[in-house]
Amino acid sequence: MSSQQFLYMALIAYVFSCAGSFLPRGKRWIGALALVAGMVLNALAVGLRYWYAWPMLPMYWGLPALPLCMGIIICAPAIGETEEIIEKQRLAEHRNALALIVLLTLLTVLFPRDFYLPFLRSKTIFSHLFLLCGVVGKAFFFLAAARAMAFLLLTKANADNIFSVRGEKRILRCVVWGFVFWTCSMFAGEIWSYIGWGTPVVWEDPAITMTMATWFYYICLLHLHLTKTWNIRQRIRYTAAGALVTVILNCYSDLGPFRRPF
Amino acid sequence: MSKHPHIGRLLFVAAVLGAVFAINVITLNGCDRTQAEKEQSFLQIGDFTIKRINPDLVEARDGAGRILALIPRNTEPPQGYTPDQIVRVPVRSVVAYGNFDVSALRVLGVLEDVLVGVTTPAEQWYLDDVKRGMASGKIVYLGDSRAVDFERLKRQNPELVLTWDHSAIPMLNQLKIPCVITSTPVAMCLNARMRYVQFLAPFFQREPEAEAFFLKVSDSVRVIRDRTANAGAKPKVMWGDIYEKRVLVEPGNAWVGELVGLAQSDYLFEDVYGTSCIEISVERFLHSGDDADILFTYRTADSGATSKAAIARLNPLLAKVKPLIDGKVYAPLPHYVQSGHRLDEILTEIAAILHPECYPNFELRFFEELPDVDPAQKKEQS
Amino acid sequence: MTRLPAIVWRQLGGVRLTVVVLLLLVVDCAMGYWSLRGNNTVFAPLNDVGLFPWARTYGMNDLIHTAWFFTLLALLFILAINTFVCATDRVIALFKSRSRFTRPGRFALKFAPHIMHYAVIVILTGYLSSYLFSDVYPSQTLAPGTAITVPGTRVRLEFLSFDYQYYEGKRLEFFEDRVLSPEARLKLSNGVTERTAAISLNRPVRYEGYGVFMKNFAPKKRGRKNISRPYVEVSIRKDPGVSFYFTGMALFSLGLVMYAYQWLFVKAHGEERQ
Repeated sequence: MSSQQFLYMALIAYVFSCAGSFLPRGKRWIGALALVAGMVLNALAVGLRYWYAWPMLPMYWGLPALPLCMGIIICAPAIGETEEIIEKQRLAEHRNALALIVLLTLLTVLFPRDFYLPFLRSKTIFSHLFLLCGVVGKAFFFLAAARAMAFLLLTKANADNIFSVRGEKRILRCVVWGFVFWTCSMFAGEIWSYIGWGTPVVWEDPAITMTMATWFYYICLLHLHLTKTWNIRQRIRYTAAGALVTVILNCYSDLGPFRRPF
Repeated sequence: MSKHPHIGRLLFVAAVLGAVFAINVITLNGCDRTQAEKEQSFLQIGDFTIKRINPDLVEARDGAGRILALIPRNTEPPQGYTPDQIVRVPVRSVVAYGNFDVSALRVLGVLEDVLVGVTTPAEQWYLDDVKRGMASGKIVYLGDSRAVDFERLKRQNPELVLTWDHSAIPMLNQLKIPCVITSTPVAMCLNARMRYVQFLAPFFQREPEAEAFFLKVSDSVRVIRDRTANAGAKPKVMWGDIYEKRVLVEPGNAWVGELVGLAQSDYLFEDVYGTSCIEISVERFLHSGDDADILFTYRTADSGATSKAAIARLNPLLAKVKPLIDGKVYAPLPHYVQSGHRLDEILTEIAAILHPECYPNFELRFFEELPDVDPAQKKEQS
Repeated sequence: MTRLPAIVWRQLGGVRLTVVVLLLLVVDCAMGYWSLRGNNTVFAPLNDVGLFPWARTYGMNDLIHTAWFFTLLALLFILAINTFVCATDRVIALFKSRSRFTRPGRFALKFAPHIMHYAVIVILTGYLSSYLFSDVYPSQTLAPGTAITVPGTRVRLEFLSFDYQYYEGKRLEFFEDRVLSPEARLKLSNGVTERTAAISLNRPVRYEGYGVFMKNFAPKKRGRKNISRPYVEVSIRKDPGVSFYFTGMALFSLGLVMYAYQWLFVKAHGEERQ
């Protein structure tokens, strides 16, 4: 089986997982099982791409790996999360995240960019770190957006109360993790660029500007939070918009031409 | 909250304008020159550039990013350049590795005067100028391009070598012969392909000839665009081939990809970016092959492209692509690679292949449409 | 009139300016993607020729595709000023209020964002130095046994030998019989001392302040025919910005770790009220 075929199956599993989150409480384990199945298939797809490229970097594997990474973060125990939130909000966040996973997998299935062969200059740990940290960073940004969308749907407009503060803190935690990994990705990329080409910024790949744009976007968000320049609801809308911004800025460049899945 | 919002806004606008102005003043001096003057002083042709520093010094940047200083024959070399960077113009003797370079010399009208060495044997040449030169002994075969006889090259006393082979540079430096790398890391776009002669022109002081060629080819492109504007269905086109386990295609940024798009057709590798003959995955080639109407192969009849059946025998994977089943396959004729000076005709012929309804009764001169089976095989079958 | 400098200082360090500039940078960088796409022949020489020569030639010649870059420079300039003013103001304020903090560790963590701010300025300074003051010799080709001297210096590079490690497996079909690890042994000398070093892709060598980076090599595959003569193409760079941007990156990483630790593991709000 090819990597693309594993991705098709992962997409189906993710769709079931998303649908399963709408089942009554006693049957939601079906959705959880489908999510795990989807992640296993997704991991096989990514693993196969790596198998046919290692020790070099498989080209444009970021988008196929993104849903897997989001799934792992959803399933992993929440680190440092002490806020109490209502079940309804947690469920909404979960559904939003799964919807984003389905959307991203659909994009990678319909618009694969898997035809470039790996190149020798990617044979360094820094290239792998660059891409891996970038994927993790993006995953956190999407999860932050999922939480932000859930918050906006469930909380009252302009309610600047303790629940809003807790909600924002929960969302911002994802943003901070995302920013940490995104920065690590940029720095790893700069080191790779320096040792490979002699300069930290190489203008061969236009995606570098999108990486910078995303970094500036989330720096702006962190500044808005730290300085309380906008109110909570405005900041959370900005975070929710980050999903669209990240798709446009970072996922678009990983898309290839449309390919019929069957 | 700021107590002075207006001052703040004014300061912000002033800061932006000041920064942009400062950068412009420092970097963009000479803005009062006309566009033509600016283009004359700096010309970019893909990875190649020509920069006129002063009437006695022109800087040329070749495909490898190497800088060459072109100076008149009887002037002192300027400061800041090493001896292997100095080229005295007009150049009087040239060795050329590439067919397109030889064609460019023909366009500039200097081929018979300056060409003294090539890397293709006499029997494989189709250009009369070169055949005559080789018959007379003026132009010498230096050996295969990967095994050039540098002793023989030295005897020809070239003042310049046009080569795509980077490994020749150290040897040529030892022989104190300047060289220009004519290959580029990224495939030449259509504009670069048309203007390449303008890069070589300063070496021979033949700028008017180069400009005339560029205008002629630009005109043919304009005619192609006009003629195919109302063409019917857009054919889907592939340009590449499969060699054993390797798939090589022309990327979308190459001149062929641009031309196909310009001629109201779909180039199926339009999204692929990189060098000419870029290697991609077999799956992608075959997937595009499911949709393609026309395939242009790299192979000539000499390398086995005599029919669709012959190509399919060379690589069974190719038999699955739609052009070999019920589409069209075109192979270049042997003299195609030596016809760069007829670029306008080549572009027109490709357009005629894509839209025969726009070019009725067009006679192909550079490509041949491959039959389903070899003529001998067809005879047997009948 | 003495109020005016204070007003200017305050405005230049304002967070509104920060937000506006950052959002403009997002838009400008996004436009940069579309300008760069398919036009990297315009921007690639930027690393070789330097900023001013590039701006005067490539930049001016193709303003449609390079305007975003000039805007980027302007915005980064404003961001650097804004960052410096804002960070300095807050560091001064932090020092003045240090008595509020009972634990030195918590006080130190408060510097995290400011360390990152100053680090960004150091990084931007490094990039600017790199593009303004680097000595670059982009394409120097060596065959085994040949040598080159860096112009204007006594630094000499001699190509001694070339070692190849071919890919021997079957897993990477596209890489069969291809060189997986090229290694070129060079003798580096400055007329007084000399040493030998091996360079490879992603493994440069530094000598007398110059970095030597492998750009290309041949042959790339083994076979019986049509094999290129061995050569290695190197890029030689003396870049004063290297120490700046790596120092800046280290500082930023330190600040980021401190900030992440504070945000993710320390209940900052309770400490602040104290």
